Amino acid sequence: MTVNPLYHQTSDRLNEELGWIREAKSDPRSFGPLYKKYHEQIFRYIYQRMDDEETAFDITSQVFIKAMKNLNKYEYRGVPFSSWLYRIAKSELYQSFRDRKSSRTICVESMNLFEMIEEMEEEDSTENKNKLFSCLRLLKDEDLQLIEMRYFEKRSYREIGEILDITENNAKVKSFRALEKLKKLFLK
Amino acid sequence: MEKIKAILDREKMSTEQIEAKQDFDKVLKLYNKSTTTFYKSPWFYGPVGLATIGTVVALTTMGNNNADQNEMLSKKKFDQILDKNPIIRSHSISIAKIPDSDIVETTKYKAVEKNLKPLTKMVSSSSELKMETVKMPEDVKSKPVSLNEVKKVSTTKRNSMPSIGGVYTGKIKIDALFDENGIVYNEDIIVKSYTIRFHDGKDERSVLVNGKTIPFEIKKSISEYNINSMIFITDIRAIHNVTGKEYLLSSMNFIPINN
Repeated sequence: MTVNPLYHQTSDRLNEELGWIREAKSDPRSFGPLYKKYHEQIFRYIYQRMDDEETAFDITSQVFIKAMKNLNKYEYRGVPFSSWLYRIAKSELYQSFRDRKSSRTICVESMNLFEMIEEMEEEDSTENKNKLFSCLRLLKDEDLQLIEMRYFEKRSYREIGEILDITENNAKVKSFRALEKLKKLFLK
Repeated sequence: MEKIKAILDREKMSTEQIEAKQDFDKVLKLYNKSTTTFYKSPWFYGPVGLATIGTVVALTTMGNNNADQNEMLSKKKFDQILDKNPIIRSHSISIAKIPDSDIVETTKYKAVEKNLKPLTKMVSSSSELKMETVKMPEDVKSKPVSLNEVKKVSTTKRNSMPSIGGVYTGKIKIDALFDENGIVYNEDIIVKSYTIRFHDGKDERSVLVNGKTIPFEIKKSISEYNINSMIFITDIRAIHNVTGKEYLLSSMNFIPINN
């Protein structure tokens, strides 16, 4: 999975976005461009964490409905609109787990496992890959989120901080600690 | 939460597949529906509304019937008493009515509006890590952090983590941190460069160092300004002294303490 290309925006794109937000606050029909811009990335964020495609699309729609309802509460403070959407997405996602509409899932690519095994300086074998794959399921959700965002989705610490509503430095420290916990499980 | 499900190498959905499912009109419709006030919706005038009205009417009617029945019962009882006491009957007396239940005045409470916490918060601008002095946001300050135990690396087996003075993370005595061997890994893999992040008394600094030991200037800053504060050693690059293969080793965090 690649770095979110829309997160690091130019000032022109940011100003364009602010214009859409201002219009959408007075007329919800003007939310369309924002929906089109962020639909794919919000869907991918949600689908990465659940097993059912249709439910993922439903929850994605719920995210945008909630965003439209609460748009008047959004204020631009140097944080991209996408971060605010991700926070809503996270909330809706976990609500669906609580309502048992879907189950928490982690989707891993073999390449991610390979990179993590290399970082741990362990042998790149099928056995080790399977072992690491099993260890991921044993992590607490808080740590798993950090591993997913940093090592699978390749998000910057700044973006992780904004999504989880913590400082960039804190995101970095927590990510290190999550990786340490995973290594500890792996080396057991 | 239930057990986590793990899927390996799930087929990725293409952008076209996802875009095909975009439907802003549907989202707008659902949004409008969710924001319509109840009495304006067809539901109010449909089955739910009629059922509500019917229930209210029935309750009111039942209430009236009960009041009539109560009066009849009280008359009957009174007659029975009078039959037993004919002397009383001879006098004209009015039928005592069973008093209505007291109407207790209910206190009306104002509906408390929930103040929804805004989803955005003030986020101070943070800085990118650079190879020069960088300013940290004010709310991020180095403060003492206590870790449970010092993790030591065994010298009897091949290491999977780099270390300094036998420690790879956690509290480390200053002398151990400035060990003359510097960052060690395994005998055949030598550290070539690393980035160290520390506070120099004014700002957080991030310095790229060539070599495996900590330079004197940085030692001085750490000794003066970073006791009981976390420092980070990241981007540790090492090279195999036989094959020449390059390695990126695990990062380390330390909390320097006095000897």
